[in-house]
Amino acid sequence: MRLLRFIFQRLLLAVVTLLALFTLTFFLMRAVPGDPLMRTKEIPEETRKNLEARYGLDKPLHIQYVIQLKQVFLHGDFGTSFRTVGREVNDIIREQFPVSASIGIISVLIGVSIGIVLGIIAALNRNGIIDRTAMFLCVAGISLPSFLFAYLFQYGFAVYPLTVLKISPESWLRPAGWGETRDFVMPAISMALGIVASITRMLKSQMIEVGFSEYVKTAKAKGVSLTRLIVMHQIRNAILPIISIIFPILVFTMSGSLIIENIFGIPGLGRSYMTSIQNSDYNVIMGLTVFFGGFLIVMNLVTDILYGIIDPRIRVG
Amino acid sequence: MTTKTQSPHELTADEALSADLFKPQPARGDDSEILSRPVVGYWKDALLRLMKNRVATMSLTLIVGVAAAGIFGPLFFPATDDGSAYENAQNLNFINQAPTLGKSLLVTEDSPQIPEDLVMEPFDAAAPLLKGNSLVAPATFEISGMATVNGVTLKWQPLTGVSGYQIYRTVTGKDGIDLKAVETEANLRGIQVGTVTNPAQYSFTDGSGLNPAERYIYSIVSFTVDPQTQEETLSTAAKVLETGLTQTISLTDAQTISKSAQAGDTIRGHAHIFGTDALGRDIFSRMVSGTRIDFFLALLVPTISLLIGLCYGAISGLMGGKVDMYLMRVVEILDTLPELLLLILIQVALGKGVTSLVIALCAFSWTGYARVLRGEVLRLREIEFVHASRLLGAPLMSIVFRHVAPNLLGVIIVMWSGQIPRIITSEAFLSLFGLGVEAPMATWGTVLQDAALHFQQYPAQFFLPSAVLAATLLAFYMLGDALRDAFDPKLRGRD
Repeated sequence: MRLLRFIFQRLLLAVVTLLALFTLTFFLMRAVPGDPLMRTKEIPEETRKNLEARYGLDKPLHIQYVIQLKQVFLHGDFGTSFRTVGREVNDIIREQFPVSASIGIISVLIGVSIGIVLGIIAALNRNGIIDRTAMFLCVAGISLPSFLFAYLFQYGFAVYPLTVLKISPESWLRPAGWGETRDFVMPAISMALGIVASITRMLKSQMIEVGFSEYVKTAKAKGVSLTRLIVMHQIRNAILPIISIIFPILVFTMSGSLIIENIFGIPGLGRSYMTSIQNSDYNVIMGLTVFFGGFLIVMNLVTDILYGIIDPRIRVG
Repeated sequence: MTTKTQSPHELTADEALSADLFKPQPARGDDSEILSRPVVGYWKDALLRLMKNRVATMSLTLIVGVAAAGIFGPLFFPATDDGSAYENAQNLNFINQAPTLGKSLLVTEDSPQIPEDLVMEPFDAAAPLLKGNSLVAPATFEISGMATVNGVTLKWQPLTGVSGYQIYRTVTGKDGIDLKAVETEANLRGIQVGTVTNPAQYSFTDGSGLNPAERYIYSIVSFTVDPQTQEETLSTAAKVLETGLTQTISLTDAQTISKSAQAGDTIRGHAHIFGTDALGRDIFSRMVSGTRIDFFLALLVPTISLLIGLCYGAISGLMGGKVDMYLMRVVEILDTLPELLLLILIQVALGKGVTSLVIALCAFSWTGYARVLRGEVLRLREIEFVHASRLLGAPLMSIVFRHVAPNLLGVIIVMWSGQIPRIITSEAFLSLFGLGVEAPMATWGTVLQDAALHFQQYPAQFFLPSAVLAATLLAFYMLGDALRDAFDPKLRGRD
């Protein structure tokens, strides 16, 4: 019963958040100088009027707001792009989200698995050379933005080998491009570094904390073998909190890949978002913002509910 | 039964305690309560711990150094001829230069004379027109005078029987191009820079788009035009030559470096330790002056966010009840919004500029302070020493400033310093999308943005400023870590 109330409260908050996001985006977009009908070539007054009427831009702002609100929330329809005639925003999302999501998921997989291994090694080798190196790399991974890594990899792994070392382009990574398996490598690694860093740090401190706990002492006193102690007691308990931060990381990675997509020329949602902003393409901006926001909110909701089920202490009283 | 009662034991003289065994203890005076060691309070302890942390002191030194460079550096920038800021001064004769400590430059007149192309009667006997079936290239091909960025004058021995010459140019070193390769393979000759349709002409001046940082390979071929079909036939053989360009500087520019410079002198140019960008601006000076805006943002934005968050959190925490609940719901909603997307949208809506950057960056960063400070206020409101102080009748202001504020300060400093590197990153991020400050103004982000456009050809332009950015971010981050350790003894030795 309490769990149901908790879920209901969260759902309500999620709806309010989405509404706030919608409203904020709507008015911010209208505040941007220029409008979607602005082209390099002047359009005749008559044509302009017709176009405005067709897209509903001639109506007062609050009417436009209500119309779009209904469209989006009742029908889940974001309308068509102003730039590419007849292109449905829903289609853009349907085609490009899998691209962004696949890179996100791959980088999370890479990041989490390396992070877990590194974290365990660092904790077992406390203050040793591996630990210190890993910790320095972690600080770098957390504090440096992913675009620095992206440019570094693009040059070091693709541009330099291809132009200076003259490796044949067929058998090597491309500086930019999309459509082949090899094109995943650099974007995924540049995004994974930050994840590796945060997972390693967190797991290491968890491992150390668990190492001081009573049940580990008891197990030690009972004469449990070292391998069993580390694997069954320490690692298993230290990894639990890691599982709970994977969801937020996944969400962040999927929406935080804007610049990576631009650097590596990946036809994902991040690139569409940038072009739509440059063109004041209202419907696309709205669609992508609400989609990203909604995705974030739903994922947070799922995480919260899962927490609520796993750990009753967290449930909102 | 008789009971033998012992008489009370008489003390012998030896056993008796004489009064003089009991001497009064000398008065202890006041020094027992005196603290023999210096008092180490919370703040002093934090400071001492910070100073003992080697990583922290190194980071602090680096940050202070960068900040000092930003503040005082621009005072030492060289003058420009029109008095504008040195970091924005473009010099199209010095585009995309590799890092240098100052090259020797030849001073030329302000509007250099581009030599005229000369015509000479074709030199008949020297070269047979046809060799087998194919056309030949001119027998000699050389540079006339000095090759500078203003123009390269090429000279060759004219041929008879040809309709003219075509001249090509390519850059040495790109895709394995060298003199030998160009001579043998026609498709490596590069762009066509000129067509000479007078067979008697024996010189040509190429003056467009020359980059002093490159070495060029010129090739010349002769061609004939069939009078009937207008079809062009090129000679398969080419004559090639390779040249670098002499660095020149115009007289006016030279005189800003050395007053006494005259045309024809050689002077030492400015040092460009990070090289120059695609507009010939000195990248190092752009970074130095960019420090001003970056550090300004990095200090101002967290401070404004802190003030907003502090007021918001304090109101929420002190009012409690319904107000607290609604205020915190607003924070929760703001926290779930996709920050990056809205940051871009706000920046687009407000337009480029420092003010809009401050607003955009503040819009979302205050919620963290509000959440944490509300929690702290709630905790401190119920803590024993505040209760005690209230019971003793201390006025509200004294409770706030003596008990609450100092306890909040540690948390505030840690959060505030932790936000600095994030602001610097956000500025760079927005600039890379072209959403930073207005055009000529330099920030670290705009320097990276300019360099990112062609970083595949000139990686140094991107990676040297990146190294500065990375070092500064690392220093801020590690200093923030050290501050957290210093202010929160419970966290010491973790991670």
